[in-house]
Amino acid sequence: MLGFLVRRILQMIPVLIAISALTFAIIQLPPGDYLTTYMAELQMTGEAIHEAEIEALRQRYGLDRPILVQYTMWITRAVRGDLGVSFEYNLPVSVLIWERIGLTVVISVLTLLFTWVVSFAVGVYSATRQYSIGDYLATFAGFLGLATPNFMIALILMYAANRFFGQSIGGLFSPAYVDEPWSFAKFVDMMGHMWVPVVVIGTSGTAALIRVLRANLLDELNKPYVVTAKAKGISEFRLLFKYPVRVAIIPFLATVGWTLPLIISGETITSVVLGLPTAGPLLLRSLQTQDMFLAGSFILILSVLTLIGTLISDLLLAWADPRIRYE
Amino acid sequence: MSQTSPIHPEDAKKANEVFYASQWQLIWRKFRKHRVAGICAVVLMLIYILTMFCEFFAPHNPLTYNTDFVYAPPQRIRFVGEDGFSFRPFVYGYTKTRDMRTFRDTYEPDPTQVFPLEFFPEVAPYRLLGIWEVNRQFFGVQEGYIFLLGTDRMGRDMLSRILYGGRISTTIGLIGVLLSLVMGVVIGGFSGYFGGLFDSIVQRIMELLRTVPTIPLWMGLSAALPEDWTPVQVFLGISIILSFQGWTALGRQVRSKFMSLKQEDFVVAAELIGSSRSRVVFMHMLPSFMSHIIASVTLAIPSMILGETSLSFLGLGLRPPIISWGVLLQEAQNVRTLNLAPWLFLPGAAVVVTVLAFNFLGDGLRDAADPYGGG
Amino acid sequence: MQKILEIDGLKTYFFTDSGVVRAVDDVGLDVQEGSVVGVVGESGCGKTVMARSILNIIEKGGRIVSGRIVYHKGAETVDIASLKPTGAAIKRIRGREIAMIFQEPMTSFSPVYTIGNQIMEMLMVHRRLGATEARRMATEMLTRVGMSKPEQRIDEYPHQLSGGMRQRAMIAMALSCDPRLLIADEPTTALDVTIQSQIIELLKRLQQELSTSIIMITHDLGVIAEIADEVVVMYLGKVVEQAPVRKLFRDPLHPYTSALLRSIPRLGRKVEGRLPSIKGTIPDVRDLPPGCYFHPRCESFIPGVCDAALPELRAADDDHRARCVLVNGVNADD
Repeated sequence: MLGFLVRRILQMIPVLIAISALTFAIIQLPPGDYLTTYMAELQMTGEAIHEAEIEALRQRYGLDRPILVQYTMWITRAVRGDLGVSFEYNLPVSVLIWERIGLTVVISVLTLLFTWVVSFAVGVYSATRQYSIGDYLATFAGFLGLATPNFMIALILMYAANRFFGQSIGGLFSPAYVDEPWSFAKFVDMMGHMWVPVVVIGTSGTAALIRVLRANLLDELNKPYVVTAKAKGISEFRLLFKYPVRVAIIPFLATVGWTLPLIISGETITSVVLGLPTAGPLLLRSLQTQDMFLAGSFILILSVLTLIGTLISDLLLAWADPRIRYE
Repeated sequence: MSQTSPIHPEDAKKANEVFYASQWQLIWRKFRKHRVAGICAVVLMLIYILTMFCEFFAPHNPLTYNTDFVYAPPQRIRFVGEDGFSFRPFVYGYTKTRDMRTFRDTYEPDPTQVFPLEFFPEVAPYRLLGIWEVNRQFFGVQEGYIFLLGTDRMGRDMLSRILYGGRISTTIGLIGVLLSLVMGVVIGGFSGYFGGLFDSIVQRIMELLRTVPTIPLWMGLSAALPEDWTPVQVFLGISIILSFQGWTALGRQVRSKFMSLKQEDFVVAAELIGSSRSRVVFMHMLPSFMSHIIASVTLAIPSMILGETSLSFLGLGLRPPIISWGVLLQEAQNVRTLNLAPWLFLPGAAVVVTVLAFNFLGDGLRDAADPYGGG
Repeated sequence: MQKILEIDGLKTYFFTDSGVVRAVDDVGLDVQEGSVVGVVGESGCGKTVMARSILNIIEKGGRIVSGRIVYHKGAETVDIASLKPTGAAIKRIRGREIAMIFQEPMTSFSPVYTIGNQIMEMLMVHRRLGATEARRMATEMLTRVGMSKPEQRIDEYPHQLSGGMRQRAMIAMALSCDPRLLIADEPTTALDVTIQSQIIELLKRLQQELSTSIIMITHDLGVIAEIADEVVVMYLGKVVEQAPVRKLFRDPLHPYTSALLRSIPRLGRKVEGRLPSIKGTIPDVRDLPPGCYFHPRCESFIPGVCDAALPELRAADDDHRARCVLVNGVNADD
């Protein structure tokens, strides 16, 4: 198991480098560099441009050096925690992002749990009662969940809440708590608001996982080892959960690897619609204003987080499936 | 005692019939059992016909604005009016009242204004698909106005806009998938066929692209599209961005198929008799899992459509004057507007119906693609 | 000797979209205490479905339509066919009274548990043993079936064992609760020839040591010759011949049995040309031929008789019965 862990972490390194390169490419993509944008901004607001300041910045970011050097300088600083400066807010990026990233992580993890619990329950039900009314309903709801974009679900929920209950369900905090420092009361308040984004973001992933689990469980139910287990005379509950469900759960865990990017993706767009103080809206804004260090940092960190999530899911997978562990 | 005697001639005939049912025949037979998938195929065909010939089906120019009818609600098609039943369907006009406190217009159907529908009316000549010059439309009204799905904040006809938007949204799905398919089959195929170092590199690249959260990546890439691009350039740019990750799913599938097929007898046989590698790949291996590819492609189109919709909704994808379902949904961004004009949701319904139909169809195709499997 | 299992008029049908499949159609057989009954036939003849019917673990879509499966336990008798397939009563019989081993040792164990776990489960469920005790018993069983290094093997996963070892583990599991009847469903089919004979030897030895009765399902008459006392030949869901093993081999009454016997190679017998096989293929079970099911492939086919009515299972003498018009009439010469 330890060997597996080490191997898996070593494999991550090239992927990490590639992700950072991709992020850097995205930062570089818009025409002009950070300085030209900065100068244009200064000009627009009519501020004076200090040659010395410009020169200092040019030195700092190595803007007159080859692109590879620029990348190396950027990634070295990023690893040390210096993610550059947001010219839009005139603040270091690291000041701006961590609380938002933190909330994104909280929402994503809660969504993941929601997705697992719901899809596990519905998937097992659907497979063991194949072609029952419940199964058809679950299948259809699943298809609908897959077909409806996250932001549509968010909009519909907001519209319905407003229209029929006269309530606003956007945001993550009640107005009284928005600018308060963190406290237990604020946490409780946040949890009360949390279900909306969790349900909205979780829908498509849940729908997908239900289908995965149902299909796998249906496959497993006909495997010879299930017949063996039946012949052993064990209880129906044990027969179902110890044998086919236990094996069908393996692809389910493998799926977590790609559910996570899906969730973070969905979180980004959903929080824009719902106006959540998470990574999404700021990422969108930074892209609209071409505040590329800020945008790049978000993309980098979200990708790295996803990668870590994938690693965890691989470890879970190895733990669940001896055939992988002993490869 | 006789040797193994030949099987009865009737048996032989029967056996031949079974053996000669080609793979495609078997697939067709199995697909026909999926009634839902069949219905969805028809629905999709309708959607594509309606949107492809939207100049003909749309009653209005989608860009024509009308300040007299801002946020006008959908009109109902009626057969029964105050004068009793009429075979020709008609709509009522609106009476508009302005709330002097909010300065909002409210519209009520007005039974005194009856506008009968006219089918195939003559209109100013236009080019259908940019090729044929046509001077008739599907329907319209001779006098008055018709907004079957309401109007938006500039009084533009929603029905026409949804039809025009559909053309872009459904095509972008096809083009994106086509790009993904070419990349996936070529890269995945070679990776699976040759294996080795090339395969490991490709594997890592696929893994990388699959790990990056899609929407942030798409957002980053599309934000980089130059502002001054023409609509066609933006359209192609977005298609490329959408397939940037999309090919990995297809590529992975093709690769694993190639991996297992390499061991199959008929491929080995083809190699042994000296077929060239490319011949083996394109003549023997590709056809044998064509059906799977078709099914996967069908299942990949919806994610492209959803991707375009999401990006455009955020204002990072297609931009006006291009009309797509995502662009239309941008109008539906805030709850206050939605309360005023819920029909702005309708492009969303179009997205859901299309995606749903593709998913059901793809599901049916996937089942049928494995004609020897059970179920 | 005492009967421990009586099957009578068993019908197990499958209800599919394309019609009813009469997988087992009116089958009867008795199992005596400590004896081995061989059930033989080509694949698709219903022998596996028959075996599964005994434990009522029939695949989806199939069920016992009628007939009795009476299990004798001392003075008590239970009709297994009448028990609810998911009920508690049959669960006390499965594994504990009647155990089963399967054809595919590859896939018959769950891949995600050690074999020890899966053997111990039997002991813990049926004998209510604690984990330590169950483990000790499981190790003992593994030793008994000739597994080398049982203390180590018990913690290994199925994919770490060879096919033969897995089948030994399967036998150890089946016999761990000391059942009175063991149903072996093609236990050697998926194995190498040399391993096959080892497994059969093992079963034979254990059967004598434990005096367990065995129902041996196989398509291999060699296996039957080696282990069975009594033989039942099945064709398309029906019993076509039933006899003690020596009688059946020496004096087969049904042309199908004769054909099967001719198709096995024998040491010391010169075969000219190819080994004979039975002509034709097994008909579709949903579209059975009229009359005797075997007549389209039969060497001794009598037009107008064999294709008119299905013959009854008739007794040739007190322990030999066959379903053929030739019984008590013209004898098929070999």
